[in-house]
Amino acid sequence: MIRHEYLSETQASYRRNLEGVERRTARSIASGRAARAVSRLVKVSVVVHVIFRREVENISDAQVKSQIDVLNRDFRAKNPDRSQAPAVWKSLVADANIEFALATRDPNGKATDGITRTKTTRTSFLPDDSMKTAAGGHAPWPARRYLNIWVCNLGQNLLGYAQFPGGPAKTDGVVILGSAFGTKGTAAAPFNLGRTATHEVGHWLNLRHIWADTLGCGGSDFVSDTPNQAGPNTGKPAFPHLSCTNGPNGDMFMNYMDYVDDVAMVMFTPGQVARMNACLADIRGGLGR
Amino acid sequence: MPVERSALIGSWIRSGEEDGPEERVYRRPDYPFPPARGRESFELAEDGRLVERGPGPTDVPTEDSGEWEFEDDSLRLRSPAGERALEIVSAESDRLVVRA
Ligand SMILES: [Zn+2]
Repeated sequence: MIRHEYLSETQASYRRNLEGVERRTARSIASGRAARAVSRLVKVSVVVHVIFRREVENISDAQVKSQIDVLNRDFRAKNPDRSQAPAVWKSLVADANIEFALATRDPNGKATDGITRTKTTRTSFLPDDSMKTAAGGHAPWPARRYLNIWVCNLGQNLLGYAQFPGGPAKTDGVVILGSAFGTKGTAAAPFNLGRTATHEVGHWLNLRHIWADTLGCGGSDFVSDTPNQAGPNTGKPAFPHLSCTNGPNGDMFMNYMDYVDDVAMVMFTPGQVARMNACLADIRGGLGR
Repeated sequence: MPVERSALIGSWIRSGEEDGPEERVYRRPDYPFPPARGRESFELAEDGRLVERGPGPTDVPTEDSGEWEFEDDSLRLRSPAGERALEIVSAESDRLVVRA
């Protein structure tokens, strides 16, 4: 069952919220409010909850900081590998004008390094939000003010997962497998360039997969400057890769919202940036203030 | 060698790392899969019932139930997620290969 469908069934307001999010996103883009938001730098306060059983899962401060550095490059289009974007899409490499910093104040106003560390007895976690509770994990800091990132031994060989805006505050944030977090320490190839968090934070800011989560060509990612694409790409595809009669340029597999290896994803588009900024101007408006 | 229906029963998980240019590879759940952003899989029951799984919109695996049929080397999967036909190239006990 799709996670957000699960939420919509268990939580009466969730589907209405999602529909509301889409209406507000469209209005914010049409009115220019999202564009005004993008012209202003937004700085998001981040708390990283490290959940560990074995000492090796208790990743270092340096590994955490290496992930924040990646977010700051990718969401400002300062990542050097953006030069990999094919010539036809170079002009679509977009700066989201969003920066990230580990929180310096905790919810009670006390000084913090923005990292919590919690010892657990769990060998691994399913993608069921169990790491987001005090029983076995760590409860989130208030979602209106912080981006919560949980780093743990996520099971089922899953690299990470996210929650869209409009969902329950007590599970809001993203979850990343420790060995796919940052660029140092336990980060392991081919997911050692911090792009799992870039992808998940994209979802957290309301971005959809570039293939629109449908089998075939019928869906939309609600972004007009990304080509229609049949399904996820993986590994390191060669350009062009065609599907859904999207020739001659084919799939924009080098977009952060595809499923390729870290080394192969290098860009957001202006359409995606507009959606993220509509989210920051509105439903996640409490962040960075 | 023709593929027997009985060889298809059970769970198959996409092992895209092993794909060739014209082939898609699936493995059994006990295969040591490396981490992935998400994996497609399907479970074929003897009685024709199907459970399909795949990455959801926020990367949490999603699940759909449906039916499957096997005829002329073609595996038909039908569920609310859609309908598709996979042309079976080979079916060993631990490795299923379909035409890309
Ligand atoms: Zn995703």
